[in-house]
Amino acid sequence: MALPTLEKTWQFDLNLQNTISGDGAIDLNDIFIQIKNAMKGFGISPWTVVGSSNSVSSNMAGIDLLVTTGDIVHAGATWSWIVLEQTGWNSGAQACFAFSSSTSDKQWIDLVFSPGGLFTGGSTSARPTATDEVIVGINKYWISGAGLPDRQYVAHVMQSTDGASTKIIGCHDGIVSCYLSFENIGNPVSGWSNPAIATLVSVGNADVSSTLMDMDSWYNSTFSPNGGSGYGWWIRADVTTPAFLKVGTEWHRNSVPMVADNYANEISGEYPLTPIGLHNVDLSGLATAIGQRGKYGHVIDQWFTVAAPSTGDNIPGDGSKQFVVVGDFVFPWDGATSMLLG
Amino acid sequence: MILPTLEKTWQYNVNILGTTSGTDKGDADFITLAIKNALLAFGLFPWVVVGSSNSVAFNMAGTDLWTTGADLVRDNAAPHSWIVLKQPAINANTSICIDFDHSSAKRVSLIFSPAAGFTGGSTSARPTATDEKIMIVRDFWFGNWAGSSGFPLRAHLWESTDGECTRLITADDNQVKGFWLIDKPGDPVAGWSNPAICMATADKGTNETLKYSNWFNITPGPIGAEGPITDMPLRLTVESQLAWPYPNVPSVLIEPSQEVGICPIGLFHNVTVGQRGRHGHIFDFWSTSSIPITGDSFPDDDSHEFMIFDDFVLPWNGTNIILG
Repeated sequence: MALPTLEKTWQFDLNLQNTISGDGAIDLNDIFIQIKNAMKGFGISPWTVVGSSNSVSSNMAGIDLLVTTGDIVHAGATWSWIVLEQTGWNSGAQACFAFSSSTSDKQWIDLVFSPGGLFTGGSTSARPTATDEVIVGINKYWISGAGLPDRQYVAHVMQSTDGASTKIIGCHDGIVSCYLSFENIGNPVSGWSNPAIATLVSVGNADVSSTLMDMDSWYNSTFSPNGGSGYGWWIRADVTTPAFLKVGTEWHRNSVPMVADNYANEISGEYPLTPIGLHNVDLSGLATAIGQRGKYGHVIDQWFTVAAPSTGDNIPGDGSKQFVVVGDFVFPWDGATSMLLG
Repeated sequence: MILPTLEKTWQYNVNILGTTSGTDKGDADFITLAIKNALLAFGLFPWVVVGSSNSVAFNMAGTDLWTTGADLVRDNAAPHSWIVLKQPAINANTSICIDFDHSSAKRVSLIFSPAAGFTGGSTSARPTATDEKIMIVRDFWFGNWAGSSGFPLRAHLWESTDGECTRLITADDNQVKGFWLIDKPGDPVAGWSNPAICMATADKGTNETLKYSNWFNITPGPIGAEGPITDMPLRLTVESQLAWPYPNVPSVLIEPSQEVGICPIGLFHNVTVGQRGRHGHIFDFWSTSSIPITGDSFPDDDSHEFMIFDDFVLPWNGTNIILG
């Protein structure tokens, strides 16, 4: 299959690594700050800080108070949060990361987004809120998995130069342990006023990635939106009622996506790369609101492929490293870097 | 959904009207000659005659012996009529053979040669091709109509201006009956020499000819093609979710926009080891919801840019379609 034509041009900040500090919580804070700084540091259309709290003080005046690992404090009486804004994401959508989980659950994070960029308020003891806020997850695992062992995390942050799409892959111990995205979707259906999504997927307390980025998990909702034990997979979108979206792709028969036939094209030797659609359909018992059902668009510059290649393999296999395989997904890549998995 | 962008520019000869002769043969002869002549008359890259038989004489020297209804003689063994047409814009010898090897005026056989081309033949036997795919066998290409019923047959033909894609729809009594598609596929996989496909069917019943259930999920595949190793029937692919083949045939519209889905169609082979995989897509041919009916068009503003035939969508030339 011919390589796909990218819809966007991309900036990359790859193989971000924390210092192994001897304290698992500090390791986690370290990698979070590196991811946040990567988002702020892109040369074109970087994210900007709307406000933050380091548990001692807070502001909504654009000051980033999460500078060192000690600035990330989980909930006691006060805690940390940060609101970031991306002008290319639905013309200024905002994401709020908050650490409202207790100090005994430092592996958890809250992720809430405002498609309209409407976060206001906030204090050292409460995150800002937005009238249009969509809760992606509260007290959810992200990169760590179970517990807080002292370990090496690796994060890969990529952002389109127009800011419309930011994708983050988190890893440790040779596995992909979380995936986050903040993006517009391609060819959004007309009538959807805020065509923006946010995703948080994590291995949760399993600490293995056997299904995290497998296509079947995304189709079949192995990871329930209600995410028991603090994990889950979540593509959230703001419709009239915030929706959980499911993925679709190219199928050749009932119940069988094309890439499920696990082979490269036998004539050309190329792996198939099938685009990913987003569908608002009933999901794991969560009935989709009538009036909001249907296909909404597609995920920009992200594809499914067969299971044969391994995470970290590049496509094409000619050393050009144009794309990288992550589970059953394929993402753009920078053409130079070997992907580390921790 | 946003309307698709055409990959080809198109020549049309649609709403071809048959005659009501009062006999099966009279009706069939008239529309058959009209279809053949339309294929030969496209302004850009028309089909060309390789050879023909009128049951009295035959040739493979490029002479068209089908001039009048008397030249169309139907029989399964004795001398009968056939014609071989080729479209060099697909591959140099991509051809079809239309064979009247049944005594009924309502029936036809269609044989497709992706690359080799047909040779041989006589007044009593059609030519053959080493790579031939038998697409329709003595079946009703306009349905099982009665010439005495007094309603005309219809035909609609498309050809891309580069000659790579040809489509034919036959209809009567306000229903699609037959469908032919002879194309070079889009984005054929590297290593597939002489890529060419044929999708053809005779009447499958009321409103069923282009029903998705007759084309998707078919084993080994309803599309005729030749692979690098051997015969390579291709399956149709389309975007889906767990509720197959969502969103093409959902029980609901895409509700925020009140539109139906329009999905591109890929080509996939999963039978013969050594030539399996996705091999390309069909140009300007889409699957859609079963909610609209044949004769509806997109967008819903009377511009008739795209026409719906059962569960599929084809480009259209802006006119009102007449099916019967």
